[in-house]
Amino acid sequence: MTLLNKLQNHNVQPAALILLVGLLLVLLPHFSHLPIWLSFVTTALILWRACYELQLCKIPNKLVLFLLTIMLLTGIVFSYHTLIGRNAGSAMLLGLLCLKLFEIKSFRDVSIIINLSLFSIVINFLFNQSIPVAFTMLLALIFLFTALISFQHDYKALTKTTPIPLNLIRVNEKQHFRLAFKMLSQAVPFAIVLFILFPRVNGPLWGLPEDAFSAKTGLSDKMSPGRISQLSNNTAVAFRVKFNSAIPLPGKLYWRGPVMWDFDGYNWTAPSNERLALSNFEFTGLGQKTDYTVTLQPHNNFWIFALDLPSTLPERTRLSANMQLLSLSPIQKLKRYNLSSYTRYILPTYTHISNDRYLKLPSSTSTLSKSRLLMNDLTDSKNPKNTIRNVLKYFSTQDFYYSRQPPLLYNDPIDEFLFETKRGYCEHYASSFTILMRIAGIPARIVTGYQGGEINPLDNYMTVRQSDAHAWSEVYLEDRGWVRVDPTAAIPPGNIENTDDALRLNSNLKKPSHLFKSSWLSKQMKQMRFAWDAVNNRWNQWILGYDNKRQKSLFAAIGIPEITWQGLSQLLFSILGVLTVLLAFIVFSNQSKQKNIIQKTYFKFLKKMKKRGLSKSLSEGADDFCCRAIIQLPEQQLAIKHITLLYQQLRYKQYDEERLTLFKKNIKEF
Amino acid sequence: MFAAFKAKLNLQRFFIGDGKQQAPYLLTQRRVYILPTKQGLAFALLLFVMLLGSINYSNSLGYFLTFLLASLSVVTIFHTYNNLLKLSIGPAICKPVFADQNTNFIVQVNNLNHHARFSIKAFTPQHQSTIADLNENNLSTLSIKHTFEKRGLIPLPRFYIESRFPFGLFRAWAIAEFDQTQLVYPKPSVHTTLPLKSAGLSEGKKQQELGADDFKGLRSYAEGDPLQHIHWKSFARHHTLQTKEFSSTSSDELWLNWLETTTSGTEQKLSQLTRWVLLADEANLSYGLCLPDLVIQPNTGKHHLENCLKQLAIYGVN
Repeated sequence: MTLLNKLQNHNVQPAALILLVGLLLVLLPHFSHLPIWLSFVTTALILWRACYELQLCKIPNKLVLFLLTIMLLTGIVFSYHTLIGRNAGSAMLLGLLCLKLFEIKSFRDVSIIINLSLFSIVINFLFNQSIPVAFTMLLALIFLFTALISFQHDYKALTKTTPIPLNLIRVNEKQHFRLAFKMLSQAVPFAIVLFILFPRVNGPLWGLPEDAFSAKTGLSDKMSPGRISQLSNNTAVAFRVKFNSAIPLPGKLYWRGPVMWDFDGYNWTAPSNERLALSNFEFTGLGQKTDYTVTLQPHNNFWIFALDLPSTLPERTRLSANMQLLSLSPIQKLKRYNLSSYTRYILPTYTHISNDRYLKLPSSTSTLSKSRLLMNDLTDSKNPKNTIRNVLKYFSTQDFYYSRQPPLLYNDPIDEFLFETKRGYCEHYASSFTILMRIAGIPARIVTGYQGGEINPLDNYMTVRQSDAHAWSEVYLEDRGWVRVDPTAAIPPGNIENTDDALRLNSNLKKPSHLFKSSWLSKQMKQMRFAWDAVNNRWNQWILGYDNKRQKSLFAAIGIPEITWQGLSQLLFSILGVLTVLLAFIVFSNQSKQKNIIQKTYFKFLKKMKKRGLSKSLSEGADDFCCRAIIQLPEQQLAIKHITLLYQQLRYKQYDEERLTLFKKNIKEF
Repeated sequence: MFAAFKAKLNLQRFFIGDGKQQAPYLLTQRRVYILPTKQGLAFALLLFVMLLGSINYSNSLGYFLTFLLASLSVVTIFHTYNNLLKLSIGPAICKPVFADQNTNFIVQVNNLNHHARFSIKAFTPQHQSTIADLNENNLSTLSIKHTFEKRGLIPLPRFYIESRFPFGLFRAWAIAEFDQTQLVYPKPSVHTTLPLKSAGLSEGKKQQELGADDFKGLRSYAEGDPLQHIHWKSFARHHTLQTKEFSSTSSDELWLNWLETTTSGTEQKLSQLTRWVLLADEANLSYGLCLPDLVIQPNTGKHHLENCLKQLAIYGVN
């Protein structure tokens, strides 16, 4: 027997299959964080149950089920080393949920499975709240509730049937789907009102588990060669910016992140106690101030990326000694900051702090020999600016390449890079430049962050992605304080291997023409990407980032500047009341569908008559109207008479499909 | 006016309904009740946990899902309620039944709405429910399981009509009780055979042995047939017992007499008589019934049977 035949077979209950599809949809986004083995096991369990439904195999007995449960729990303990917390807890929940599938005996079991599935959806949202996931979950909801209806309707689907069925109407599953969809759409207006008006609470009610927000991609507080280039292909959004004043030139778009100066030969770090030292604003801003709003994606760190250099301090933030903006608590959800910065500035010089730490070189003496030799030639001991210029010139003339796949470096990374491989990513250039500066006696440090950003022409938001992650250097000049130097920008455009990088890094330079010949297709692709990005941004701004501030600003926009908690609840309940009455009206109104169709079709006819200058008054019957119309339009009297007759027969005599199609056809042709 | 209002608020209605009603009985808003089921309460608990989680994690989609599900449960109240609302039930179609037996009584239901109603359960408190779907604009029946314990003209029991469709989160129900009676025959006793000889009526005429006159034909053996009437030849051939039937004109009249019953106690006697009547009818005999206050002349046929059973049912009941 083929599968299709089996499906049509009366013995196969579609209810369980619908439930399984719904569950699979719920599981789908979970696969990204579950261990691979668990993804396979859960899918296999679902398929097993599906095969049982199609009468292809048997169901495991209690002993097997018990052993499976033990194995599953052991596996989870091995993978996570615990059974509690967000990750292990959700893995356990999903595993047990799939095992529960083999124990569907009564409606209570179905209800438990559905409830657990719904809970898994919420857990899913803790990991991922993107648009595709949201829509998949909506689809899953439709399937789950259809399954609930099917189980409720068709008692044969359950083995423990208590009531005795009598003359059940055999219902097409389509009708169950339609009902579930109808009910969900009736619920949506309520949900939207609740979403907008439900008073929002700031911050967690109690402590969150430690692993609540782990494993976010992005910058870290360590920099080693290869760390940032890992991000080069990651198009995930780091943050979005809305400029309230003129957008700075692309060459000025340096978003400041963690600053590092401790180098052990491989890694750049900043000692944690130093990172927290505070600074006050002591710099001179030049030119126009830039005002902007940053919407930061959660990254579970304290950093806030501001344009070099921020001049205001938003609430609950502070400024570190290296001019990095820090939040008081880790950023674990979408956050918005209003900021202003000066892209041109002069930092104060200071005398009381020793620059030793900014001159420290790796202790090992065997390394950096070639670099030291090189710097003997390049150093201008009188004017550090000349030294900088010489080194940058060295980068631009000595055949250095900018590459996403740089060769590996071993014992002496700086020397190997400078004199052998000559291929590297921004972190290679920044780190070797900083070291060369230190050899020359110029205090220098590394700044990581993001550079550039893409303006979406559709909503004028600038998107900064993980692939825009960048590292550059800062050198201390005695007359100007810390000055930014980006050694990567010295690489000639022709030596940049990837065109995207070339566009990004040299956006302020004159662009080589061959980089700009983009095809029609790529333009379209870009346009679509912009559109998708704009949609995502709206989603982030208005749905994911909807908090009590947004709520307040929304009410301020419609003229209620200070809405209180009580006011919100009153408004909420009155709107919900109105909606409930409307819902009651819709549900309890006993309109016949057929009558509706007939009436609607007849209205189309009346509309067409109106165009011909004839309108039916309310008090006029169909017959009277017909008589009047025939006098006015004698050439169409046959058609008018026919339509009127059909209308009356359909409405008052007997309804049948054939007549209705004829009625529709006549009016269409009229 | 206050009294009317008070009557409306009468809490008893919630448990026992409106009392005996004329059929048909239209389920109006006042007559349909709705409360969450156990599953509904579990769902509410889930929603509460989801809301707490969403607040704690400030998870927007979590909020939305919670609100959507909460709204959905409000929507389902209306749909479940509407599944019973404006259903016209009754009258019951009461066919006589025997006491102490699992029987059904049939209730006519008229779905006046333009939508079908699904999973309508009907039951009396002590029995399993039956479940049925009702097509739109359609007259159909519900069959309700019930055991009548006593014989007589028994008022129809109070029964419940319930629906949990579509999600099983809420249970809507209505209580119905009709102003109708059900004729319940006495429970036929199990072990008894027909009396062969009848101590006659007033004349004391001894009845002759059952139908000994002319051979009429064969029929299948029934409990209580005399051994000598069994047609052994056909038993040898077909292994089924056949009884020879004789027709007689006068002597086959069987009197089932109250005084001849072998048991004591009114109900037991009635039980035995009921069984006799049934056996006699099965045997296609002409039988008469003799009760202390009533005599039914011997006769045959369905009407006669029903009449006899009815008299037995209402014996001694005023």
